[in-house]
Parts: sequence; C-alpha cells; structure tokens
Amino acid sequence: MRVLIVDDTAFMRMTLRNTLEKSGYEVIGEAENGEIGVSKYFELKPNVVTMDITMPVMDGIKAIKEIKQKDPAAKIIVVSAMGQKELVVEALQSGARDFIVKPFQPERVLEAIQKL
Amino acid sequence: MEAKLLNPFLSSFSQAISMFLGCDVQKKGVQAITSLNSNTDVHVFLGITGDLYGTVLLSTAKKSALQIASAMAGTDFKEFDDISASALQELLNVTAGGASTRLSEMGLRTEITPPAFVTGDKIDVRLSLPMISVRLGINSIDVYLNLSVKKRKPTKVLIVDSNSVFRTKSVDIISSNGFKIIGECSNGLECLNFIQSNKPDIILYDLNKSEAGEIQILEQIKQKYPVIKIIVATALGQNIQRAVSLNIDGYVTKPYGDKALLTALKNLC
Repeated sequence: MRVLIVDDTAFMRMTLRNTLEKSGYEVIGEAENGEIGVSKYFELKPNVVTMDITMPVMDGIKAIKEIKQKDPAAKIIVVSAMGQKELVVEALQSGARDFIVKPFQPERVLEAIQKL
Repeated sequence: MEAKLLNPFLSSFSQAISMFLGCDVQKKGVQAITSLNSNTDVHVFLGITGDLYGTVLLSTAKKSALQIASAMAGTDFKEFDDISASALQELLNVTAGGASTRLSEMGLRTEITPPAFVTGDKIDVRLSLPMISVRLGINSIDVYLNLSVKKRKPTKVLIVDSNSVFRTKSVDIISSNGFKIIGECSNGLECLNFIQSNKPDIILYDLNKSEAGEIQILEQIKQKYPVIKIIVATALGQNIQRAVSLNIDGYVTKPYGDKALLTALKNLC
C-alpha cells in the first residue's frame, strides 16, 4: 500500500510516516499544502492519501474535491485537529473515506487504512 | 475575555499534552498581560475567526520549547529545525482545533489559521494585547497559553417585505445562522420610521413592483444612513438595475434559496 501524506507541519508528516512505515506501509510522498498535495497525487498515484484540513495556500477540503473530481476512486483519509460535526460531514460529503481527529493514537490511523 | 471561552482552550491543551507527552498539566495562575511574558522567547500563534475572533499565543523559554519538541518527536533537539519548530506548531494547532470542536458544541462556529512559529523576546503582538495569560506547568516546564479571543457581535438585520409568509421564512433562515433580526417591516415607510430609532447593520429589502415609491425610499435610506448596508430581493430585472444605480450593497433574485440569501448577507459582514 503506497501512501501520500498531506500536512503543513513537518512534525506531523514525520509522525505519520513513522507510524505507517513501522506497519509496513510505503510512504511515497509528502506535501505541505493542498495544492502540492493535489499535484503529487496525480504525479505519484498513491493508493491512499492522509489529508490535513487547515493548511495554507489550499485547505484539505478543497484538495479532496479537486482530487475526487478527476479521480472519483481516490481513497482519502482526513487527519485533522478540527473535529466539528459540520466539518466531518463536509469532508465525508466531499469524498473522504474516514475522519481522524488529532491528536490520534497510531492504531486509529492503521485501522482506518486497513478498512479501505 | 469570558472564562467560558478560556476553558475549551485549557482543556484541549491538557488533552493534547496528555496525548503527545503522556503527562498532566498544572494550572499555576491566570493574569491579564499587556506585554509578552518575561523569560519567554519562543512563540507559536494562530488566529481564530468565525463567531469568535482573536489570537492564541503559546509562549515559553527556548530550553523548555526544545524539551517539549524533543519529547513529542522522541528525539533530542539541540536547536530548532523544521521538525522541532513544527512540533510546537502542531501542539498549538491541536489545542486550538480541539477548542474549536468544543466551542462548536456550545453553538459557536470557529475556524483557525495555520500556526506560525517565531523566536525572540520582542515579537510584535500589539494587535492582540491585552491578553489573558495562563501559566501552565508540564512537569518542571513552564509554558504560557495567552488568549485574546472575543465574541463577534451578531450582525443586526431588518427585514422589509410586504408578504408576511416570506418575511417569516427569511427570519427563520437568517436568525438560525448567527444573525440577529431586529425587526420586520411590511413596507418602505415603516422601514424609514423603524430605523430612526433602531439602526440595523443590514436591511434585506424586498422590492415589489406593486409598491409605488419603494425605489425612492431606498434612495432616501441610502442618503440618510450611508453606513447601513442594503440587500435588495427582487424578481424584476429592471428593479435590480435601478437599485444598483443607487449603490445598493447586494441583491438576491427571487425565488432564492437559503444559500443565496446567506451568501449575500455574509458578503457584507
């Protein structure tokens, strides 16, 4: 399983990478905002994307919509510090498969990816 | 700043520390500050927008900041780099994000801006001061969670529409989306009388072909009260053109949906 991590903080990208690599997943790329995330998605064609919401340049919701518009089969999991109901609903309606609220337990991320 | 706005941030910070570092947070004191806490030279801050607005600033000493970042990342940072600096950003991001979730359960919609990291004991936070500063202890480390967050005053709206059914519908949509309805009028003259004593921020004005002189009344309102913003609702193209020539601030064409009306209102806030 090849994963793309989209998050504006280097710390969170490192944490997610460590969590995933320890469990045998391959992290094929990282992006620090939604815009770079969208272009890396189509360049690297990952099996799964972890997507932050609050990011500069382009937020995660817009990035999900752009990816899903061109590739409806894309598998995206949101990993966000914001957990409001409205936001969760908006993310899922935009095409996200799951919504993980930070700070997360590593098992929660692994479980979300296994479910795909 | 109200205490009930402070609590969501404090409980969210405690939860974040507990998840990232596996330890508890002690509240050591609260005070109002008009300048940065002494002995702090590492700061992370972000903005809150929505029903609340303001700044959240997490400040500590460099040595403490490096200890926190090291514990979060499971390494030993001697200096700040991408990872250590962003660990602190993530700590504040998670704190404000969690607070935002808690505030939404209190009926307050908020968003946060991505956190920024700054070092130095003389950063410019004039716009955010005064702040409420909470001194927090994480084992032997002291950090300050400083907040300057206020409730945004709801925008006051007056509705002018000859049709009481449409008025009620507009009231329902508008008042359930964070605006305050201060009155309803059934025609322009009533509206003129009303705003003599009670000024709205926005008037939602239904322009009906059958009501003679409504355009002239709009003109009078605009001249007398240039601060009040006007949104015209009409099905008639010609009326829109005439209203636009009066420099109205927005319009919705009838029949309009909830979203179009709210967009027109929010554009003026």
